[in-house]
Amino acid sequence: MIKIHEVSKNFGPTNVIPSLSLQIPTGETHILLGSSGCGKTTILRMMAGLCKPDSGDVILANQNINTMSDLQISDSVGYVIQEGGLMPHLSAMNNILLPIKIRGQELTQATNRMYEFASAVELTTNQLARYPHELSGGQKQRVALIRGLILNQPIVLLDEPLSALDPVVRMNLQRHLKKLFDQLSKTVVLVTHDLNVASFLGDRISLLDQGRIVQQGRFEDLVNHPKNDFVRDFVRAQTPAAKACS
Amino acid sequence: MINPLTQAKTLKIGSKNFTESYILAEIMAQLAEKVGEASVVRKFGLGGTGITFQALEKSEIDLYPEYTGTISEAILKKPVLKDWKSIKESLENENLQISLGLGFNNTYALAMNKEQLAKLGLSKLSQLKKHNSLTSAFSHEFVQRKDGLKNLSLHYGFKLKNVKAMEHSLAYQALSDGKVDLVEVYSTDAKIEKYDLVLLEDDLNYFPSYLAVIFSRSDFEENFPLTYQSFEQNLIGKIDNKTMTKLNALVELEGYSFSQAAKYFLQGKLVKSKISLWDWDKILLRTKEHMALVFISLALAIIIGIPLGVISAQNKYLGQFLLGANALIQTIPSLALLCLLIPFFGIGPKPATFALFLYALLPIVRGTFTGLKSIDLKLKESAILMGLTRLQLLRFILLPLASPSIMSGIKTSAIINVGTATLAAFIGAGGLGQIIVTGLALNDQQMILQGAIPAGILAVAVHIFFELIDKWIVPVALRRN
Repeated sequence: MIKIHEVSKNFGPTNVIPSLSLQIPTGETHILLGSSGCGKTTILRMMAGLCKPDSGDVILANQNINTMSDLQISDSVGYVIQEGGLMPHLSAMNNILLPIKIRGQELTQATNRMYEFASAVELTTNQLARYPHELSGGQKQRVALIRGLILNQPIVLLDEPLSALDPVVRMNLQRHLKKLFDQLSKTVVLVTHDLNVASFLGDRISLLDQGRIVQQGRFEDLVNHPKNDFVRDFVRAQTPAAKACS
Repeated sequence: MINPLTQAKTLKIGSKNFTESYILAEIMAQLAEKVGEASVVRKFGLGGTGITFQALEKSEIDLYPEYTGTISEAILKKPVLKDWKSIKESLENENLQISLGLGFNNTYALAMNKEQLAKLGLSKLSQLKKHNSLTSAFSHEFVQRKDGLKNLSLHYGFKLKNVKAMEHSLAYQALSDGKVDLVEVYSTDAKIEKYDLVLLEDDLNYFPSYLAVIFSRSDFEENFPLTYQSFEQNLIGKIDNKTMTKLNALVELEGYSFSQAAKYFLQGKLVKSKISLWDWDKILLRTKEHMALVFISLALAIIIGIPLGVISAQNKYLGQFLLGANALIQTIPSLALLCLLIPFFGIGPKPATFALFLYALLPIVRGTFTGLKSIDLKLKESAILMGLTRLQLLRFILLPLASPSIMSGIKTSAIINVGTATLAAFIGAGGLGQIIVTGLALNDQQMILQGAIPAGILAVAVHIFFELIDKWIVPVALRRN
């Protein structure tokens, strides 16, 4: 369970998030949807403790994030950063196993887990031995995904995990993600601007504009019962079918 | 005559880095060795009056040959003191003493090529005011000193337009090559003959006397009574201008060593064997000394510089302060820095190592700073999100990512140090500079090369060495060019 209570955030003179509350029950895959600059990544970063709200609280599993150490946060939250954030000097495999190694945890089990995930997202052993600069964009995204899941934290946060991929790769990875999330029954928060990704993966969607949640609900609710013109336009702009029907 | 109890004493004899000073110091050293009152340590080739005098004050040396004119002008800074007696009295307050004159007066004189002198019809300094366009080359010391060029010009009313300041021994070469017309010389200089120079007459009596004396602290006689006595008997008044010029010529023109020239003066014998062209034992020894200077100072700079770079990258204001302070050190000319360090470290390898350490710091601090600053913030966040502690972040992520930049700083420092370490010879730290400095004093190209070529090879070797270290330190994925 993730609980965000009346958080606000300014960057200099700009009020990015006026006051926002959000609850995500355990096991749900929640999508933060919106165009760039709407504050969705800021909210995700707050959930990982990377960004402190000016006011309000972020609560992970009944504990206020302010009272948690970096290590405690990283023990409960796996984060897949935009564009991967892979360490260029480490091979894919060492990138994935880094969180295990620095905790001094047993490697065999983690390695097995890594291979399971790798086969689920169609990464070969050979590819795992490569350095980030030797991998394609999609391969890097998948390595970053495995790294985010390797510690098996109850919460997984993903920032645009499918951006900058060609459509076929994206479709495949999207399917892999769905399979993994269903199997692992984790609380997932995924940031995207892409309605297709949102509709495919999300149990519920929060559509954001200027730091406010404009509408929250299932994909069908957004399409069939848009709360206002903004929601209708956002949905139409990305749905050729919806456009054609209107 | 040798008393085993006093044999434990050491007598440290210094010299400056020009031929006459080397020869006189070597004569004193051989005499002292003959007396056997103390074991003799030679600290020759110190860089200039400032460094040599400081070494005497700090008891790094016990005595060295000096000139009365230099003492009144450059050391006491009382140019009004002209005669031996008033200089001696003035030194007593400083706990220093000079011996009576050794017998010659090595004053300054201006000299020109014989042919050109005839062509211009010049013979006296007072005629010089009609020839202000002559190109002249003077030593840095002569240009700076009040009793040097400045007051000389006032005294004779000339105003030379093209004045170049250069290393004294190079000025002769420049004159002989026709690059300059006028140089300053010492009146016992062997090169006067070699380059066929004529001295301009000091017809208005400007130049003070530069009587050669033994310069020591006041307790010299008390501590080394037998040596003192021997010097009184064998040196005072025993070396006239002609003898000194001859000794200088033996070394500079005929290729005898300082030691052979000194032996010639003391024993009247001229040993036939000349200096071997390439003295490999000496080159090897100096190379080892050189490497010790370079690597010890570099190791210190790495140990201190990388943490300073890390601190600089983490704290904006402290960082700017550290980088600024480091840059400031770089602007201090190396000889000046060496001179500044003598009060703290004396002379020898210690101050040289410390100075090299200071010079090596900036490239390493800056390399570390730049390397760390250029790391994508996303990678740092990504590491924190994985639960790395600050130390783990530094050890496993930041330093490896910054390593190409850190290594390039270290390489720059190492190469600069190989070059700068040649200057260590000026404060008696040995190294290949010792050979170069002696070669410069003798204007002996062969000898200069004996120091310069190994130094060059060392620089290349250091470069290759660090390229190999690079392969070991820098992660393979970051080594793409």
